[in-house]
Amino acid sequence: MIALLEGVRIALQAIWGQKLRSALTLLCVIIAILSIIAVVSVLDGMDLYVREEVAGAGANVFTLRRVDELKVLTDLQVFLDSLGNPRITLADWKALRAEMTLAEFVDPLRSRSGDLQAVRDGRSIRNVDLQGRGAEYPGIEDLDLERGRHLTQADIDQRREVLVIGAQVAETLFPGVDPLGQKVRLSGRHYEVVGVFARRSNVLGQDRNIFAILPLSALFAQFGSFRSISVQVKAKSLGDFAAALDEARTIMRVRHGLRPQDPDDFNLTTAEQFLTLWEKISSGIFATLIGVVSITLVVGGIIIMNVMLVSVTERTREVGLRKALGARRGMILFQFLVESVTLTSVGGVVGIVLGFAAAFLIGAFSPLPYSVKPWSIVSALVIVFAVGVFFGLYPASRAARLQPVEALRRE
Amino acid sequence: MTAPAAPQTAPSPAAAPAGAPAVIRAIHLSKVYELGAQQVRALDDVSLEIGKGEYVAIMGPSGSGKSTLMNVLGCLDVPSSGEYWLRGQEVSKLSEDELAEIRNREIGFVFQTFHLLARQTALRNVELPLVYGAVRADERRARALELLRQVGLEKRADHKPNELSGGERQRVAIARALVNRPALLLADEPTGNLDSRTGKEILELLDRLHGEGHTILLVTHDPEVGRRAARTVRVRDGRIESDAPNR
Ligand SMILES: Nc1ncnc2c1ncn2[C@@H]1O[C@H](COP(=O)(O)OP(=O)(O)OP(=O)(O)O)[C@@H](O)[C@H]1O
Ligand SMILES: [Mg+2]
Repeated sequence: MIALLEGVRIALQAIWGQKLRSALTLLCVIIAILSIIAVVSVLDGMDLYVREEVAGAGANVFTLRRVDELKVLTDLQVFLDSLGNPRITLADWKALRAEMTLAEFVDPLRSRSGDLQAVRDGRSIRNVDLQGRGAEYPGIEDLDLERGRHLTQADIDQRREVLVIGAQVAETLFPGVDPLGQKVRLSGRHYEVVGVFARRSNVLGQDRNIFAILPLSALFAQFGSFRSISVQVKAKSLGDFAAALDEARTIMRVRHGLRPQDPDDFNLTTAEQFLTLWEKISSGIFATLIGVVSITLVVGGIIIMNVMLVSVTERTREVGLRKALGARRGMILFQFLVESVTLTSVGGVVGIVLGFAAAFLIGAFSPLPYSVKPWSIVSALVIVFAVGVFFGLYPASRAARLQPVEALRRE
Repeated sequence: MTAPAAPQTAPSPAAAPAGAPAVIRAIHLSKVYELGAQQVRALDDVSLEIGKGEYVAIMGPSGSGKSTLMNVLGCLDVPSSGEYWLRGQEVSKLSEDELAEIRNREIGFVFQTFHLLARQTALRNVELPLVYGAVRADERRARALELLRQVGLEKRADHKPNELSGGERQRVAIARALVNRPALLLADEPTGNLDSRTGKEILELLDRLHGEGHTILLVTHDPEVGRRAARTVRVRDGRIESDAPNR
């Protein structure tokens, strides 16, 4: 116990006695840990976002599409095969709406990109995401209104040329003016603004407010209805979700005249599939990150080892003397291990604090979200401690193995 | 100048006071250094017995193996062959950690170059063997202060080595060597780095310690220094050339 205290004392004096060297070593460890923590918390933040925002909102929603674009990433052959699938038509939508018993809402969707111009003073906004929809989208997607109203069944049925616009569209086209009742030009036709959506938060630098919703019937009337649509279905409850999916599949197979052995020639996409894909992608990022982190830690460890070797060489005579006075191997080993572990641990703690500060700043001043998980603090500390022990062990055992006479003889 | 050579095949009991238990019994000790193809016999079949309370000077020309002998007797080095018994215990059979304990409890070593820790005060330097002997802090301090008092340096307890003269440093080193009440005090040219007057102070201190019953082995070049001891062992080419009481 007394000898252990002495070991700690010697180690701290050694660190304090070489302020510049210790500071530089600490800096290396701090930078390594800081960058690791910052990257991990941003990645964690993205993960949290995807799970809550993307998956959470549409938990019991699925989408009928002609092809599943995500398959490009996961299964290219399936994707290529699905390119021959028949179109999903308005008739399919109507059939689903009429025949499904387990669906609460069924809404068609077709988007295209277009430029909008305020008729009033010619202000314009480019590349707006124009979503042709039915009247049931408010039940499916979380879209709050800032003012005005959503599309109604009458808008759809009568192909009214009306728009509900995103917050950024409203701000760009009608600064300081009430957009309700204003006319907007879309490829030569005039649409009337009947509603404005509440502002949505940006995600990953993407402004999710540059969009407008208009009756799909009006969109088709203007641009033609030759392309496939998709249909969003919200099941009555989460418990009905699987059954609703089956129901939609059966209806579509009957409509497409498929025999039992034929594969589906349409696609039913769930949030879960998206999540699965995200997990694949993020675990890929994580694996890469772990590789980078390992390299960083090894580099940091080598620096620590080097510093410790210098420290041992410098104090060879001191070690020889201590052994001559009765220090056992274990005590010398301990003394140098404490020195390296102290360097890495102090650097680690400072790095963790600064890393979270950096993550917080990134979260505050950039679109990247961040999140702090206790496990990452704990594992960072454990890893840093282990690096200190592992890379301190060789120099320390070299010191401990020194023969007293030889150590004392060295200059 | 040269005394008749003592028999080298057996421990030489010549100078050991009758009846006193042997502190050191070295039997046929050899130390061979391999330098590439060349072999250096730093110690060549040395047998030696030293009793409790003896004051022995080891003399001999440079390179004759005096330091090597001291290091082996001080358990700082291990012999290539032979037996070494310290206070009835066969040291050559001990493990590394057991040796550390022997060095801590049984041996006080005084070096020519002092070997004090530069960053530590005199007091801390003297305490060091007690730290490795796991003595409690308050007792350590008391004992270290007492030893500093004995070598006349109680006022210098809080000074660092670079604030002390050479003689004072060596006295701190002697206090450190004695603090754990060792059975044996080994001093390898303790006055080698000191001027003659300061050297004399150290030798007087050693005389006094001998008078108090310490067993002392002293390496020296200086015949005058050697005469202070009660017995002189002469070494040449790693062998004991003579071993006789002084006058
Ligand atoms: N580590 C070593 N490796 C090789 N040879 C050594 C080593 N240490 C000592 N020697 C040799 O052993 C012999 C005895 O050395 P030692 O230091 O014991 O002599 P010494 O009597 O103390 O000399 P001095 O009076 O100069 O201090 C010398 O020839 C020396 O060169
Ligand atoms: Mg010598």
